[in-house]
Amino acid sequence: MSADRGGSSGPPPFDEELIELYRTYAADLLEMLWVFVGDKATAEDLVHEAFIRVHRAHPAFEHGDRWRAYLRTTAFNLARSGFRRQVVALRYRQSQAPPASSPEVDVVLTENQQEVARALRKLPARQRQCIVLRYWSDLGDHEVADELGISVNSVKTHLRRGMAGMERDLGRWS
Amino acid sequence: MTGTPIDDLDRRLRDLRLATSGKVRPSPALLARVESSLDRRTSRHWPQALAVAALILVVVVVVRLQPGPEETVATRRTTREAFVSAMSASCRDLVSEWVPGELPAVGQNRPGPDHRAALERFRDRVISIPGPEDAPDLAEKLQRDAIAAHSASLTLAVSLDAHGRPQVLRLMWQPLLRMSTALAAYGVEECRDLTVRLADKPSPVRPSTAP
Repeated sequence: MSADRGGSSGPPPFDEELIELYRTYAADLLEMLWVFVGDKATAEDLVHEAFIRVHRAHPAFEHGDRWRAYLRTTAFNLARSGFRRQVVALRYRQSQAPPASSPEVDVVLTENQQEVARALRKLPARQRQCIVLRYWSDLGDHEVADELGISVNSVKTHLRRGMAGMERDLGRWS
Repeated sequence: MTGTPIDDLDRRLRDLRLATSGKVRPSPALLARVESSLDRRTSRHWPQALAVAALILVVVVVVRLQPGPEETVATRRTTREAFVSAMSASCRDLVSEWVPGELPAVGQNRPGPDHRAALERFRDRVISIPGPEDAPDLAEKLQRDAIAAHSASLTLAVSLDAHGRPQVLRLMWQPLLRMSTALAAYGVEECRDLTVRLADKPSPVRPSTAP
């Protein structure tokens, strides 16, 4: 597919790197965003937009972990900034067909796991993001703080409040 | 043995993570979408082309909007000297149209019956004069050079028009005072066009009530 792009001159190296990053990281990013927003179609839109924005913002691109963090930050910022509300309108504007996949995912969750997922999605975005980064990206407090641009203490506070909120929510229904 | 609620939640979150791990896979269409978008962004030279076209269009429009040599200079931005000169000439023209009997006497604050006809002639007359680029002391010069020399008893009432430009609404009979303050307050030096308009009726002449 990459060979088809760009004609005889081939796609620019930047695109190749970005596509390579997509191949190695899009699934993890999509999983996190799906946990965060609860809808695969929206999560895919966020992944798509995040890659496009990275491409637009950085003419020089070198594959590395830094770009994973950048993609994560971009995607979560989009998710938190109302991009989800724009997605429906965006789909109508786009010339491409909407994603062929069903909004459902292949995950089969037990009732217990579904309760946890529901409780997580009820949290405020920042708390939810901290928990997702902690559990789905295996980031420590300092790494989460770096990625979010907030203090470590703020991260700890978000995590503590998020966990407490989930605990209350789960306790209510258990 | 059970742990704290938070420990339990930590375990349940890890359990959820295990359950989702590797199960949420991007649809094949997503990669196609990303590649398609990259193609459009990479191969697009149209923004530059569009920018160049827009620049050319702007230049063409600006050139075509430039007044030709036969056109009035009124739409051009002028220097202070040109503005003062034009203003002076216009004021001279105005005053010169007044017959001697119509001119109020110096210090006369209220027009007499003979003056009303003259004022009516000047009602709604609009004089557009290009504004100066720099005129911090414009009002002072205007007062000294243009109006004061010809009619010491005229005062311009200045206001702003709908476009925020200073507008001289009417000639009043009061002595020429506070011109510099009024014009400076309205930022005459920043305006492009100063419109002099005799739009309002002068102060009504109180009819004699004497029996």
